Amino acid sequence: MRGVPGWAARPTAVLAFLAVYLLVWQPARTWLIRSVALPVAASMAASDRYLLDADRHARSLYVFPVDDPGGEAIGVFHAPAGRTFLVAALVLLAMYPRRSYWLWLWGVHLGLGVLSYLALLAGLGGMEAGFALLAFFDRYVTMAVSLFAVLALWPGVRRRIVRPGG
Amino acid sequence: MLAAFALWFVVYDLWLLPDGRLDEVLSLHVASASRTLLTWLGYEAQVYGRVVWMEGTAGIEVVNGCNGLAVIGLFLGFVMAFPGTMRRRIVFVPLGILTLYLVNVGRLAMLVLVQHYRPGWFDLVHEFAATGIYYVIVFGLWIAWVHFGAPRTASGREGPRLTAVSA
Repeated sequence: MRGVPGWAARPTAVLAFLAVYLLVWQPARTWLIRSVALPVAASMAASDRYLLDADRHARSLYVFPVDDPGGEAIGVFHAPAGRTFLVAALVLLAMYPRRSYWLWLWGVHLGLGVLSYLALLAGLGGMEAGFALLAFFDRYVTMAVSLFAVLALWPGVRRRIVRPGG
Repeated sequence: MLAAFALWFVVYDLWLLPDGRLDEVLSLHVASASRTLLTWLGYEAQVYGRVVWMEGTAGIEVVNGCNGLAVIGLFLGFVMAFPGTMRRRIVFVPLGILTLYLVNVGRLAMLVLVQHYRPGWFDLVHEFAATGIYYVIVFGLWIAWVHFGAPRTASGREGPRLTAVSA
């Protein structure tokens, strides 16, 4: 962002991020599900118990029981750093266009993605608690992390959460 | 905070949601209130069980897990974990839950209207706007709790903080 005048920093950062997200990261998420997550999970899953499928954009992976393939998925894995990350990162960039807070958030989402995927594999490997853990990450932790990242850096809130100087 | 979410997950997602009774009561209530709201606004809406609809549409069904309870968990997890006085928490939690309930009623009414007047927009509105508004409200409630939960001390300083780090 060096060389960009102050008034243009926010829109430049937001638009550049949005372009990279849509043109690079979204296809990468599709590749991740289609070429890595789905084949590896399929090789781990007991074929007599589970059916695996991806959504039409191949950004989410669904696990169905073999005896009820049209029913409710017992596990859903979303490619990391999806919509909740996007919105939170855009807000962070709008607030602090010259800081790389969004990059930290991206790293945390990637970490959560790895943990979620390991939970999925555990579930497919026969540990039912893996599916519960996967749902916990998906329904609460991922969203809470995004909201908390923005909250912690929100003007007027930051100084209440982190006290500089100890 | 993670512990608070884990507790909610065990109580709600692993116990109350599969049990279904709490979701049943809330879903029926939300559907009925949405129909009432639409009627107040001058629209002719109908409700049957969990389904709200307007003439000529399939209607919107409030299914388990989509009635706002999970979002209430997101709200509660933070309020329970972030420092604040118990007295203020007792006041704030019901107000927050009521706010989220009212937002859900409005969200459902909006979806019914979109389905009737702009059916082509329905998926987009349902996927993004109707969900996004929920999280904006939760975020607003979190900020409100940060300011409201920790009272100022006699010296005028702010109350408890979540963490203290050295810079």
